[in-house]
Amino acid sequence: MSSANLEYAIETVTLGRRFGRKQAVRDLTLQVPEGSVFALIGRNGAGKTTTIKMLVNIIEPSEGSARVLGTESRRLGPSEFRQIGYVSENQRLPEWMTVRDFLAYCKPLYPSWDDRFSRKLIDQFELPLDDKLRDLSRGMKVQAALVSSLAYRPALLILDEPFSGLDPVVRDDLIRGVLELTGEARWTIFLSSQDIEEVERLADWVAFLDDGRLGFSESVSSLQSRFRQIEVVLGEDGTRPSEIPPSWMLLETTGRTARFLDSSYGDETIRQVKSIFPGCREVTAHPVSLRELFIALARARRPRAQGGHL
Amino acid sequence: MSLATHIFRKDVRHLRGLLVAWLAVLVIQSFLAVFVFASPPTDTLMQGVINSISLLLPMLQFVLLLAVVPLVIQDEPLAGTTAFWFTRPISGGTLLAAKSLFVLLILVLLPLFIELLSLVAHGVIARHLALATPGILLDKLSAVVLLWVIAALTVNFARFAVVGGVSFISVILIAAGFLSATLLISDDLEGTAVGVGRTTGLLSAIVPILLGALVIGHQYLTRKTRRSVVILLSALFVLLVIEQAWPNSRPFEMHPVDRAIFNPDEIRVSLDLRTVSASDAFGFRARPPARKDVLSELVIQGMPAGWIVEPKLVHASLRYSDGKAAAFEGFISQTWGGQWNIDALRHPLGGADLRRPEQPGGPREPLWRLLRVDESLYRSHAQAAGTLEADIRFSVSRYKIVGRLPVRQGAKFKKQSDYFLITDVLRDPDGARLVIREGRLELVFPEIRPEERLRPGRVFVLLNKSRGQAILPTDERRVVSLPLFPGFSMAPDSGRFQVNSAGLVFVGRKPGEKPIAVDDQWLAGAELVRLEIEELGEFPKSLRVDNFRMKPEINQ
Repeated sequence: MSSANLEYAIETVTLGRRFGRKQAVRDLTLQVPEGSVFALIGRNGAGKTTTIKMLVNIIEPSEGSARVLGTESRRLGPSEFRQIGYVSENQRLPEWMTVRDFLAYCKPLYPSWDDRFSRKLIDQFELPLDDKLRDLSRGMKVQAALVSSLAYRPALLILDEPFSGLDPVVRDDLIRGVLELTGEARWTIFLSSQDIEEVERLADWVAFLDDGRLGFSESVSSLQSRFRQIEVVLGEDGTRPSEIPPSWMLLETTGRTARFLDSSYGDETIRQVKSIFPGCREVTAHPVSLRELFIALARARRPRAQGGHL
Repeated sequence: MSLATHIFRKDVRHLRGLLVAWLAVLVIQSFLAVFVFASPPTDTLMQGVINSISLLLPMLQFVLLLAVVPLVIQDEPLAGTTAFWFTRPISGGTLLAAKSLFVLLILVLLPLFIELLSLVAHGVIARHLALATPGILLDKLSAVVLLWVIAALTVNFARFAVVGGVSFISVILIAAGFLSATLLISDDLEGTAVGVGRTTGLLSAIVPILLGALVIGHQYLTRKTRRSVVILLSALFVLLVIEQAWPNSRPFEMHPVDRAIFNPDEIRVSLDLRTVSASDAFGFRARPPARKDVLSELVIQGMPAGWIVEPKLVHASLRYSDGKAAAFEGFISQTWGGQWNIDALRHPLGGADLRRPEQPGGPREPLWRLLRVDESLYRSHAQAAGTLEADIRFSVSRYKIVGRLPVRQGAKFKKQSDYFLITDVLRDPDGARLVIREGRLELVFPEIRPEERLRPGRVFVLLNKSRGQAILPTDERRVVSLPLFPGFSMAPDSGRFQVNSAGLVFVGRKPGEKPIAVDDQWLAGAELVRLEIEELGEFPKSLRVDNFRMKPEINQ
């Protein structure tokens, strides 16, 4: 199947991977729409890197399957990798090479290598061509890897924690670079990150992975309309309710104020608040940033947290 | 340019420093082989220096291999999950082709080419070059494949070093354990001569290469490291089984003698019952089971002059009328006897008066082991008459002259790829010392060579034909004995060209014998003759002795 006809650049069905007794990823079913910038977020050890390694056939799934650009991940070969760019913080680059050597080595691997585009990226990132990769800073190494993964204009770019450990300036350069690219062509970008602010600038789709399980996977706009931070000014009888709707998370009561995160905000929310907190004086709903959402979701997943239906 | 060539060029660029060192070692080795070994210095100190360099260079070569192989293989590691090439359009097959190109071209074929050039410089003929090539290839490949397997299963150089070290120690411990177990079970080493036979030696070189190639191929095409390790361990087990079970691993295997050349029916074999005796059987354990070896001289009659007929293997049984019995199957080892078979040596020398070297105690006919019996049986039945039946396999050989040289400095004999020459003639009061140099090619797929068995495979004799006198050397002092390119593997006869320098000491005067006056006149009419054993095959003989006593009365 050619990538042009795809609806989804990546599809997984009950994908899972076990390392000994530890189930790193379980029952992961998600679709990455073609042309989207799709972010996989989650805490350390949530299973993001394992998922990506399964997608690019570095490790074999224990259960389920994944299709990348229409090909079963286990069958990805040279012809598929000519359309896939992959940059990972864990990748071992040939550090003995200079940047120039490195790009010259990569070029013959890709028939669609675009020299002009490559030069543009080099200029944009201000990469020192004659320095060896081992002498570059972490940020520059990522940039060099990014140039080597973009110069052939892949249909799918997979970035595994690309911003980790980078200083804000380099991070910004990188994001601007990626944003420019997405503006130029309808590339699919799949990235994993803990840097939620950067993800918020880039991504139009987000999936949340927690302890190997998928929390949600939807567009950022849908998330932002669905989630609200609700603040309730309680009346005289400010007791904490014994039961709350499953969509309410992290309910906190401080004095006469109750706060919670609602994962299915709508008209019904106000009615539910008034029913659960009879005599409440005021109900306000605030939009939440992706960062706030991520922290809230991460906390909500803790064993003692209340609620948590996504 | 193909992708494999592209990766190959990258690897050459990456390791250019080490490759320059690799090439330098090869060039120095070939310089030594061509210019120095062809005419070794007579200066003893320089010979020592050359010996040291010649021994150091192969070590240096192996150290370079230890560095180059993991570095080139692990530039694109096959284990782990962080390799750059995993997500690039490079297939396992392409990578295998690129690495094979590097390993074969630079680490195998280049040294092979240089060695063959050196052999050409030493006058090795084309047919022998072709025959030497597989042996050299096997030797190079065995080292490279072993290192490649470890490099393919490890993710970086540190892991390679650790796994390599642990594997090396494990192999030694397993081999030691295996040998100990063999000794505990069998209490001696007879019949466990692993690697003695030519076929087993060859097998020991070929099978690991094939099994290693299987593991490497599997790892490149699947990247399933655990399964590759399982295949490797299974392969090692298979190798051990093959080496132990291979029928030709027993030494002294020979083909039946050609009856057109030698008719075994004319040979009569009997025991000289007066010489029957027993000795304590040797064992490797501190307290071996008490046993006796029963020995006897064999009387072999009907043998044409010049031939050597010697027993090799015996299958014997001894039965008594009270039902007691003993049986034995094994090598019929020689217990006593001289090194030289004078009659066999004299024959090709035209019956010359051949002086053997002085031997303490003088020559004596050999005693051959026929039986190994328990001590208790020996004690109870030593003087009882029993029936001995023995099937004995005999080898047939003879000495033939392969070369003659006048006794003068610089005289050279060359036959096909082999040569020997006299580099110096030194006079002694009672004889002469000849310093000779031999060049000799050992082949894996030979034209069978005389092998050093019970008799010396090659003998030098100083012959004065007109006077009908000949002298065997009392001593042969090796001065330099080095292969041009020492190999890595333990396989025998691995396509090496061996250069020996030796001093042969010929003494004409001996106590109790009429002296041969080795003066200038005698030497002027003399020649240095080289004889070699020619193996002709084997034949079986059965013998039966009805009143056999392990301890005959005559010996009491």
